Amino acid sequence: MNPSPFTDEDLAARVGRDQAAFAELHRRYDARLRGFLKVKGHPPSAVPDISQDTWLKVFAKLRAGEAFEGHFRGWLFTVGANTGTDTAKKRKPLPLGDDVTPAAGPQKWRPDAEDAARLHQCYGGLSDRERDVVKRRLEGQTVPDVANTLDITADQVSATFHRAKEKLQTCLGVTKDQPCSP
Amino acid sequence: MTIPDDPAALAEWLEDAVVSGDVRQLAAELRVIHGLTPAESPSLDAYQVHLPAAERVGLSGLPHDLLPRLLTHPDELLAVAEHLLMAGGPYWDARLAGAPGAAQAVADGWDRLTNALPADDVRPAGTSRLISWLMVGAPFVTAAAILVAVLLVNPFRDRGNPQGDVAWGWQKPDAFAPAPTRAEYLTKLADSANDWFKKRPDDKPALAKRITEFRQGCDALLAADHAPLPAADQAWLRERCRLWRGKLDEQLTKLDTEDPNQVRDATDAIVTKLSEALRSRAAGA
Repeated sequence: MNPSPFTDEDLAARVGRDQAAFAELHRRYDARLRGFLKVKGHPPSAVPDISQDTWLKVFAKLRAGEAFEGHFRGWLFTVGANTGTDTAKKRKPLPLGDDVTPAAGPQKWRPDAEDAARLHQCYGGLSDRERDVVKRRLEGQTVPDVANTLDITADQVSATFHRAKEKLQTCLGVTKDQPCSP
Repeated sequence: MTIPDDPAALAEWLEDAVVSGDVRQLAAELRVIHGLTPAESPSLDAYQVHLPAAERVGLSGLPHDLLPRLLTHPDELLAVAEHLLMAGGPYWDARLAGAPGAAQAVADGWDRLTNALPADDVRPAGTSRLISWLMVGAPFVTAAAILVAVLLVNPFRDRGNPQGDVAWGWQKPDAFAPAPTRAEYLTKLADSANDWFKKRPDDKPALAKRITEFRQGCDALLAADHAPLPAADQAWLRERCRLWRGKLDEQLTKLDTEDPNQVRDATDAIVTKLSEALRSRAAGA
């Protein structure tokens, strides 16, 4: 991935002597690490701190000459995942979603549980037709596909989808300029 | 809910979710809409053979029938996203770099990180210029020629002179020396920036080196304490410098595909504007 003459492992070996090598590793992987932490479910507000703690651990280990197994990249993400887990354990657990009961097992940190519960409620407020159109569109069906399946016009599909979207945005308190999903 | 009508745009739409960090939210929405509960250990078996292509060229490397599957199997979507963030190639670097706010988040993260590192580990900007400019310029094929030449002369040796041999612009030893007033300090920064125009490289390796050196000057500017400036000026200067650095990076990227004279002209314009911005700030209250 890096046309640079220095591999990640070359740079890692230099970190104890040269901060520029550490800066380059950070430049190469910090955005990935942040994305990885978000996929792991850490709230965006916590990601900068977890990322920083990860890099501080990496720096300390490399500077101490601690060897890592395999590739630097894999090791970095392992350190990031562990740091994120440790941070999450220290956090106060958020309310659980409807689909998980406290008796079901150890309490899990569910950062998106509240949002999911709200969306579930809002989605339930749509008409049957609106839910059907939304579901099919988010299965990857095109507007003409949905129109054929439901025996309505493409314009009706688009209008229904648009109306459902507006209802959901209103229900979720999302502004028109801030879509529910990307 | 902004899913594109055109199936061909689905891959890009999903990639936007991956690189923007919104993919977790998207998966949660898809679970609700499809009536699913989170899976403990989603399998990547269905994608395994196609993942190398997705690492190289993005999600458009997946067969067309697999893309909609990501929508109906949101836990697989998360697993694929995680895999690509960890193992994806330069394509994903470029996608991540283009995500709104990503470059700023990384730059801010680095600033915070350098403040958090133990004091004796934080070396002043300018130390080990060799590896620094090699690293910054390295993603560009054109820099390879410079690299070979430099390594042959001076392989991996930290310079005794912390300023290295790049003593122009904001890398001059006195670039951030105190000045009697904020206006004089800012004006001196503008004057130093204009050192850019003292050399007019017209081939790619030389231009890559020159832009990279200017960019390093931005790093030095970000690291300096700018004691003569009030806090508001310091914050403005650092914020502007990050923007300038980003624009220089864009020119370095363009150097791979565009005529060096065009890139040099564009860099001239950037330097002119930043110099004007400094002088204008100096003239302000």
